[in-house]
Amino acid sequence: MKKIAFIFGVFGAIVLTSCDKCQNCHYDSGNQQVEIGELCGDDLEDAENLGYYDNETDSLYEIHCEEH
Amino acid sequence: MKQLLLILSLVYTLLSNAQTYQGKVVHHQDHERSIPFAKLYFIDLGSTIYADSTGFWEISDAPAGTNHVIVSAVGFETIHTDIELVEGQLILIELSETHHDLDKVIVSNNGWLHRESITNVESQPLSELNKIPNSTLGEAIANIPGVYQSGIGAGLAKPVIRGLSGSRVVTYLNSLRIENQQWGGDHGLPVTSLGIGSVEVIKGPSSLLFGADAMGGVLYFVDEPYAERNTMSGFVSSKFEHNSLGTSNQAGFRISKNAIRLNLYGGYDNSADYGIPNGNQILNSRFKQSSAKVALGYNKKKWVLNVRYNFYQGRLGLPGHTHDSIIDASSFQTTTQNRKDNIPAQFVTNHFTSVENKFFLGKHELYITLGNTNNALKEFEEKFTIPEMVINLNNSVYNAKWKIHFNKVFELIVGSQGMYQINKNDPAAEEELIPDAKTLDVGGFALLHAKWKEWRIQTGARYDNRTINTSGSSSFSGSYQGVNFSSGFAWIHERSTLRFNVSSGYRAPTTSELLSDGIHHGSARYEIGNTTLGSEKAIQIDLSYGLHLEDFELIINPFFNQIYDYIYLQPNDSVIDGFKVYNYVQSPVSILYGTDAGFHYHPHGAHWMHLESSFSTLFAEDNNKQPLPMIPQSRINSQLRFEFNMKGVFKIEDIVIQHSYYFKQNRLVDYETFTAAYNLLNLGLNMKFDLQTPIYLGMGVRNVLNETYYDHLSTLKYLAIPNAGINAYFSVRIEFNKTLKKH
Repeated sequence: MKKIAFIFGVFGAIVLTSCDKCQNCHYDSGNQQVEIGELCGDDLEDAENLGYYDNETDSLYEIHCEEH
Repeated sequence: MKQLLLILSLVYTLLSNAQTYQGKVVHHQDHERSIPFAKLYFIDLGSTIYADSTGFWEISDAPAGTNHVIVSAVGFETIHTDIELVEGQLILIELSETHHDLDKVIVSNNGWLHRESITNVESQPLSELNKIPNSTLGEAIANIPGVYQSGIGAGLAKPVIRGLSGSRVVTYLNSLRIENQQWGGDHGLPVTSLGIGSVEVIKGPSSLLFGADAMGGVLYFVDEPYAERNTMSGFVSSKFEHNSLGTSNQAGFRISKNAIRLNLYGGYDNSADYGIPNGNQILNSRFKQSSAKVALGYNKKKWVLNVRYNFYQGRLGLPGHTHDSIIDASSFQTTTQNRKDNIPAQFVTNHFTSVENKFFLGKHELYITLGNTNNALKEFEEKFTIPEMVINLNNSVYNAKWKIHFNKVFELIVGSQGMYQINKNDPAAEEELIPDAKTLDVGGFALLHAKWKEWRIQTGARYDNRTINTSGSSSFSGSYQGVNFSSGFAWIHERSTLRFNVSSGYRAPTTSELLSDGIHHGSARYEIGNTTLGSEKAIQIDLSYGLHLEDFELIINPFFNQIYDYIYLQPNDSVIDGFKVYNYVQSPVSILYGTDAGFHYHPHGAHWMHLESSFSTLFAEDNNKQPLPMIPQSRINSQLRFEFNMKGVFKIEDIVIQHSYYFKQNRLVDYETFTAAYNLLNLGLNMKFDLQTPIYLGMGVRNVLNETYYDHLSTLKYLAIPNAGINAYFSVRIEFNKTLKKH
């Protein structure tokens, strides 16, 4: 019975384990793709929701974070 | 109060009338010759018992009267029979010797559904379909003649039966009808292989027992049986595929102690992007899914109870994503194989719960299932954390069936099914493809069976009503009714079987067909519904002939299905937000006709060899003789299997060679493209370490020739994305069994 509990315990751990979601993102500026690096968790959600503010250009951009 | 107590005591008396029944398994020509260690599986009870070394068996906790039993013994033909349990009477079960098991492979008479259907029911144990393991359950069932799969990449497969799919194929998991927004071309099969014992397929609208909508057919998944009485067993299995670096891990535990049975399963699959023959991978074809399953069974004489729960959660990548007006096929490929979450993707969570009750009351049997399915679908398109579409489909169902055995000839089944669906969009989601809706389905049927000598006759009728009410911006209210019939006969002889059936079908339009108005990212199109759509109606004629010789079996199954008011998506010239616009329209008359045929050869001189082959072909056209879209290619599937009867601890169980030839598809509508013919070759080797805890090993290669091919039903074909290339696999499965004390 211990073996069974162990096996299901391991499966449960694998299935239920989650990690902080991080993605490499960029925005399009003119004909250029500007990489902004990795955004994680709430930062990623805020940037996707509200847009990404770039201090250098003093502009708000819509970001894209899918893998290419 | 007194009346209530009286009723309760009467029910208790009926249910708890303890009796023990005994019988013997004997040779059909010589009743003095007993057959030892035969296995008896009581289907409705879910109980398995074994005869002893003298062929003697005994069962308690079984209802008196007719019981449906599958009896098997090594070296003898497996039979599916009804036995009459009478206390104090020795029940003889006759088996005849055989050296083959042909009819199990091509058309089964052993299925759950077959005894209630006059047409052919394909019944396949999952282990047979996975002799060379498939990546998904959808791939596995596509080995059945007349069954195909459509889909988007590796993780999303939809069953196609005789050219029809989506809402026209009804899926059952045991006695629970499953709903998962199946109208969508990208909404895949909602079930994984976890804990599934077999699949049964009814092709066409011939079944009255499973509700309206099944114009294409019924897929009926049957869970693995409970452990044998007073035993416990379990397994751990793992599979690795080199093509997608995919892993599939499962564990299961079954225990049966007196009248209580429990099955527990858990599984997790994870695949990176799949590889194609040029060495690249298809970007974002990755998927991961976890599933769990619990079944609890209890039987008390005349009452059998099964409570089942299934959980599924998956993140399924949608490859072929682009916003470019000029498509560059190379942008869909990558050289860095990845399994990290990406977009676009679907995130699906399913909860399926059912409570099955069976009552055996002499000449009457009553089946009542109550259940609930909940399908939560999120589609992520442009943003990682914010889904574009969030829909929840909650479906509460009942399924009641009352069977009356008038005498040995006649049997009547009357029943009713109903479901109440609530479809709800999350207001926070950016898009709403179909509106919030409430759908109520109620239907009733009556089916008369007659069984006389070698003849089986069945006739029946069904009435269905569907009411749809939507709320929000597109308010709609509609009601649809359908009356259907099914009638046929079977002539079942030792060497020949003839079956003929004429049946009608009906399918009311779905909310998506009536009211869609938005981008469906999974299908990469803008879909517009049509509130003037009426119900589809169909008439199918199905004929089959089977020849059963000692070492050879042949079956031919032609069919003709005429559908009135066939609903389909037709593209127009418009583009909205970069997506091509499709409208739901109806064709007055459409015809689908074709044949499934197959043979199994098992030569006398080489008992270790099995050669099986099947052929499926389908033609479909409208009333202007124009082809219908998305009709599968004709196909020949062949399998050569060499069995080895090795002694010792290490055994090679079998070597399997599979070949599939898909014919070209050049019967096209104007927006489809030609699909070339292709060959697929698979090899597999199955081994076993025959220890106290047996270890099963499997290895092999799928698509050995690394053929570049495009399935005609793949929506990725139009983006020049081929199916997977060569794929080597390795699998291991460890099992254990233990006998428990009886008390």
